[in-house]
Amino acid sequence: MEPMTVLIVEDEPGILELLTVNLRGGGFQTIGAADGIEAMRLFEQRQPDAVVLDLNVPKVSGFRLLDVFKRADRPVPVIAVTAYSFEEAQEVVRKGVDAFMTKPVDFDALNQTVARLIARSRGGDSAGRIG
Amino acid sequence: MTDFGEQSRNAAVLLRLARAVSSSIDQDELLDLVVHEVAAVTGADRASIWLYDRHHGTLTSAAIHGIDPEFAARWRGDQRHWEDEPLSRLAIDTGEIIVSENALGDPRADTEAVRFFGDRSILVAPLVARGIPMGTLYLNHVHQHHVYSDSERELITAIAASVAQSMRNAELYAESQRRGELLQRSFQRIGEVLASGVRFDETLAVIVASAVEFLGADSGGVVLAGENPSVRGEIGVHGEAIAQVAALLDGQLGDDTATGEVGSASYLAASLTGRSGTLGVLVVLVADGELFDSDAASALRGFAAQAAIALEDSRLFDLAIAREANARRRAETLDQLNVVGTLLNESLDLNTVLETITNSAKELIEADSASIIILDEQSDRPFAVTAPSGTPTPVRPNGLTNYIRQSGDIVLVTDTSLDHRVNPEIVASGVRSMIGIPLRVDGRVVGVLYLNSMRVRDYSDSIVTICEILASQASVAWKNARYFHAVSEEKEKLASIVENSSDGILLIDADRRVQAANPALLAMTGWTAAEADERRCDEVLGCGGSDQATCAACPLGSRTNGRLPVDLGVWTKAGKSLSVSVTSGTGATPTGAPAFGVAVIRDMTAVRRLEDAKSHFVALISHELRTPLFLVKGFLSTLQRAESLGVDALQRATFLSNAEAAADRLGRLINDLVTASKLDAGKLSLSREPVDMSDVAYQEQSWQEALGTGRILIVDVPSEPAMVYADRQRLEEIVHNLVDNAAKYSPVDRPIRVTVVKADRAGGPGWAVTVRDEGPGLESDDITHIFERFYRGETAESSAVSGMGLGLTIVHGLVEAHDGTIAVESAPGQGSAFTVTLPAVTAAQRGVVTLPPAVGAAWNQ
Repeated sequence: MEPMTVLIVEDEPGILELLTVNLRGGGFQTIGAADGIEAMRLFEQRQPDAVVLDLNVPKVSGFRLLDVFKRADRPVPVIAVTAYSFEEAQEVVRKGVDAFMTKPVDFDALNQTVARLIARSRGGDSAGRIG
Repeated sequence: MTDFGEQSRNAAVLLRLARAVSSSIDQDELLDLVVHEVAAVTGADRASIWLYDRHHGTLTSAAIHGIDPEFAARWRGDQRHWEDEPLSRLAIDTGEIIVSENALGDPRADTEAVRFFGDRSILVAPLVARGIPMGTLYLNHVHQHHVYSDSERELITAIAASVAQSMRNAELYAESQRRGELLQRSFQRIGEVLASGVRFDETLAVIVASAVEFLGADSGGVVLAGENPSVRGEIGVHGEAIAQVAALLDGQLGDDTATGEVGSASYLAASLTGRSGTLGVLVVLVADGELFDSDAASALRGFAAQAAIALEDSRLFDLAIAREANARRRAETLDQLNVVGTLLNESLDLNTVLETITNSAKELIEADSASIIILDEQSDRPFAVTAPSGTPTPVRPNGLTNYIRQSGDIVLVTDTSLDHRVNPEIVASGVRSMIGIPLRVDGRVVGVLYLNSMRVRDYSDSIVTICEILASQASVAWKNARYFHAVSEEKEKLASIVENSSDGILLIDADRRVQAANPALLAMTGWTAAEADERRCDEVLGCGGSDQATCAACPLGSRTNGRLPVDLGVWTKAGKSLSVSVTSGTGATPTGAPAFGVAVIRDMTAVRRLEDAKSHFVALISHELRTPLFLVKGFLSTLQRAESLGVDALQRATFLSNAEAAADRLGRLINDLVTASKLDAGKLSLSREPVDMSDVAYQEQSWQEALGTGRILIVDVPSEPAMVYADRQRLEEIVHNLVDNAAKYSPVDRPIRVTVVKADRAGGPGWAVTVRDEGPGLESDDITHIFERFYRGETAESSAVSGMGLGLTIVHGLVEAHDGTIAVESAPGQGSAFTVTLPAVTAAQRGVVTLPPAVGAAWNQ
């Protein structure tokens, strides 16, 4: 089976590298974007199966990006990675992300979450087609 | 023309009228009596008195004699316009009696009335008191023309003067009563009536009503002792029972109270004891099995004491009037006493009160000097203060004042040289006779009123009586003035608190209009006192609370329960937003409706801003610390699972150094926090030595290169060493933070310039280091806040520039710790330049630590 593609939006090079190495280790294909414009371009071109999003990236605000990803023809699960506290992260969930993780991130948990959310969205897709 | 018979008849009339004036009959009765007497003595068919209303220019019929009683009753109160009564106008204007001998042909007369009654002659006498027109007296003859004799004219003139004076007195009395009510509403009703001391029955009625109300009784009254006991000031339906109680006790009460039953009612009675013995008894009753408790007895005793004072005052007054033979003189006395009463009511200032009394007393009894000695109640040994505002002098143990204080007697000294109690100094000053009257408050002698004369003189009973009335009025007024003084002192204290409060204080009325605002509130809101006055409070505060129901902070509203502060956003007049905390309170009218509201308003803007900054800071710290922490932890855990992740050896080496760099970053952040908090607490210690600023600038370049961002850093330093007296590590931190800041806020392809130049300052020679970037520059608004802790420019907030906003704060604090200055030069699109100037090292400082020559030489090249 073709591996799932995850778009990582993260401006801190070290963290981008960490997420990349670990998601690949979890069996995903990854593409990385260091700012909002790059993220929108890659999302359009590569049509990823999920997005791991740092909400605080240059050029386009994280919430604007979230809006773009969720309103796309083929909406994908978005996992927010935030350096803010749990309370603040809850606010993020209300704005429409599918999951959030606070830094430091547990990579195994991240891999599992990404896999589960992709599976769920796929299931939803097929259910939609049947219905 | 006059004969003896006529004279004695006239005298009799005057005497009857004088008695009428002196007894406390009411104004209407007096006027009825006057028209009756005058008609009888002149043989007039009609006699009438018309009251002149000075404000409305009308004449109102007040008393009429000689027409059918039923008709007269309807006629009373009939009103004419002044302009339509030429005879009255003429009489008043000239002050003379005007006689129309042939009324029918007289155009000045009211033709209609003349025809209706068939008047032949009309006399109009002006009623003028001290130049003030009070009205006119009409005498009409119907059956024959009447020619008035000189004696008749004299009599009419005398009566008119007396009546006018009496009317004026009544008017003054009413006026003083009205003013008294206005001014003394806060004092007891009883005190008020006592102070006027004239209308005996009314006074008793008020006292009885107060006692009945206070004790929850059903009825009450006063029974006066004497040959013919009568119930006075009666309230309720037990008149007979009250008389029975009085008969039962019949002077057996002494100074005490008694309780018992009469019929089905319980009674409580207290004796009215005056200076001359038992005056009567005050009785209250409750019906059907209810009883008075023990507290009631002492309360009733208090009311009885007041009734006794009123009774004595009133008797003294009656006595004074009855003993004065001359009606005019009497009227003037009454007038004078009324004036005193009015002034006392008007003025609650102690010195004014005492001065008014001494002046009036002097005038009334033609004394040469008058003084009031106030005894100091606080000290055991009484001190005397001669009013007004005299210096206290000790009371002589065997002196007159001490005698009066102890005995409570009125003392008449007809020849001071013969009385050893009189102060020799007073005798030496030429005072030959004197009268001393005790001033009593609550039964105690609180002072003495002295009236002195420079001649040996006998004092008549009437003079003594007048003095006693003055003294009793003075006592009550003095007591009131004391209360007033205490109250106004409290008020002044309060006013001072309000004036000097750093919190804003706003007083509003029931319509929420501003009645008063203290300076702090005006400063806070930017309104002037005149602008704020009578404006709606929501307008002054700009809080948008449009009515008391919706305004959470409104003192009048039901939503502000208790005194918990309410947070409110307000706008100053200039449109600045403030966040305030409002604590409210209300004052109610006697009926319980809100009369006014007070709001204490504290400007919390600065506090709130700091609170916001703090919570923002906590969020920021957590964010800033989490990123490097994640890097450290992330690289380490990735290395741990390197095998399974397929990480090669080269990558592993990179990951290790990345983890180390992240740990360094974490360390720097923590250092920054520590430095900032040390600076904040003033606990930063510097180890200062002569340092070359250029050296530090070069060091900075090497760090920048080590970071490997590829940014160009241009360093420009002078050829001579830029020696400053500084903590080298801290100076490095200053320069580093400035460069770091420049790197953060300017594009990576734009260079950063670090320049060191000589910069002499007011305090002496100095060196300056400037870090200039080609970034977006700063708005002037940002420049003012840039050194504030945790402040990050708009650009930093909206973009993803990381940092806690501590860098520049630390720089600022470090520069200040070095006695240096920092300046910013920036404009949008122009880049920013931060210049730090430090004082050059002095010879003395240089002497402490000598710079290794090699270092200096190296930089000199």
